[in-house]
Amino acid sequence: MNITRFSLAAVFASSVLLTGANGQTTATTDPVGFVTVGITAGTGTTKKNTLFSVPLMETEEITGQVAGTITGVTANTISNSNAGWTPGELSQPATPYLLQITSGAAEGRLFLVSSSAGTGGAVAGAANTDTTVTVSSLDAAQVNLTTLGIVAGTDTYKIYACDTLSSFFGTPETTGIIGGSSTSSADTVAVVLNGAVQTYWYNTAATPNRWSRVGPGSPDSSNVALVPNYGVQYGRIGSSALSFVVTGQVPTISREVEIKNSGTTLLSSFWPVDSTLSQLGLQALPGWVAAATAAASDTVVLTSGGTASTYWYNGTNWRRVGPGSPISDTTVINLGTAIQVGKKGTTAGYTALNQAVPYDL
Amino acid sequence: MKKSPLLFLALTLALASHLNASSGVDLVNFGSSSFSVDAGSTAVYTQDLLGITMNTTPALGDTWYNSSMTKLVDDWSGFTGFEITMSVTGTNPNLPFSFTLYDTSFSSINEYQANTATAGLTLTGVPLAVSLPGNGNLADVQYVQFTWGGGGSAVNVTTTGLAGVPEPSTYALLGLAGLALAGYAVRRRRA
Repeated sequence: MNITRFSLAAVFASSVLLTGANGQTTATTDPVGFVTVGITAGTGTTKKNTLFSVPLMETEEITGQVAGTITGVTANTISNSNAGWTPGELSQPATPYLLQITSGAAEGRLFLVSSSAGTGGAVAGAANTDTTVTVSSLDAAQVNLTTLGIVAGTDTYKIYACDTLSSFFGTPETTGIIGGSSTSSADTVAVVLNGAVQTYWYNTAATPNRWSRVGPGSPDSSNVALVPNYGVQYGRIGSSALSFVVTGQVPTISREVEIKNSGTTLLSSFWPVDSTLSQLGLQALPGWVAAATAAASDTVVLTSGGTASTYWYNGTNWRRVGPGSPISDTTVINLGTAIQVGKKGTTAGYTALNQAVPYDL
Repeated sequence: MKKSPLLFLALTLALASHLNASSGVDLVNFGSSSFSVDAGSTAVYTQDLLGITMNTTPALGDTWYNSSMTKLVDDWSGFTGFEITMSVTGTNPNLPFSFTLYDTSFSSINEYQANTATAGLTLTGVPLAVSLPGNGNLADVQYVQFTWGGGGSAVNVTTTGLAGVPEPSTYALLGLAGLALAGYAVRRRRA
């Protein structure tokens, strides 16, 4: 797989410890860096799939407090009475934002802020006011914010920018993706939104050319958000590999992400370091089905070089579906990749997966 | 022979309730005579007069949707839920899928999810659970879309149509029809 290894040392080179001339004043900045994520080449006529994710957080300048203390929470809103945001600035369809809870019981929760309109496939909802943001209906369908133990007046948040299909992948002219009049001749990008898969391609039959969704009317999808908690399946038909450089802030707190109880979740690896199947912690998720065979168990799918491999946990070890069912606890989850989590059964709802920061800061 | 008013009432009510042999009201049949699959679809399928059959290992996102369809009921807003009529031949690998209803302006009305687990060897109504409410109009459904959620296992599945689960008032109508039929039977026995 065409993944350039990420060096934490390089990241922390950007973490500056500032000491004043008198040696009394000390300030730190958040560690930042870059990673390169790669897309496996197709054959020119047949696609190869790569599961990948965007592993860094994008800092952003906005009017008002980027970070602050939460002063109110409802089922789908978060308020900061001192925020001073410009109404609507966080709710523009083409430039979505994320709000992360940075302390307290809900530390590491990441929410997409709803857009004021559904233009280009954005998730429409209420626009932000000077003090309140509304989280997207996708997030609100997963969890009621009032159940997360967020303490008003104590817990804190931070706002980040969020990529879209258009901002991340650009156009064939600038990034080498293959567009086409239909998906049969174009690269495709699939995301899983609350268990439902949506597939997109760069549609050269539309005027002007644009990202479109595979479905009735092939609607404009340029503003579909790529949320860092979740992954993307890139189907590459072009015969050359692609790579994308991602810059941003290194996560410094734990993350908590919802896994669908029945169906598919495309989970991002999230952290800018490699991990292993065991370290993901999925086997400890409440309700995770472990059994002697993959057919009876919840499963995980990884891709490498365009080839998908399926794994299951038998109660003792992770094993790969294949001859000999080899133990795979230490199978590497490369940074910048994604994991297709398949949960069997019909249980409704979601279960939170909590992952601690896998490196020392 | 003198027609019984009870029999007439029972037949009328049964017809009015518009119920099919399963548990819901037929809304769309996926057979080729009334449902055209759009060429933009990416799932491998075959279609005949009965419905749409997929005998493959579906990949994440494999999908089919219509370019036109004949609706058997125009306004779907009176239904409290929906079922997709489905059968699975051979091993049922319990694969997840989603089903979305769109209006004439391609706005998502509701997105539903289910899996093949509850589909039987014979055609079964598989309940669809709302996973994400949209902002479209159920009285104006024009398109439907079926999308596989992956799963990595082969499945041989046939989907023949979509049915609506009636409001309780419709069930009451059916119950009334049943009572009328029972009454008619009793009267015939006494005559």
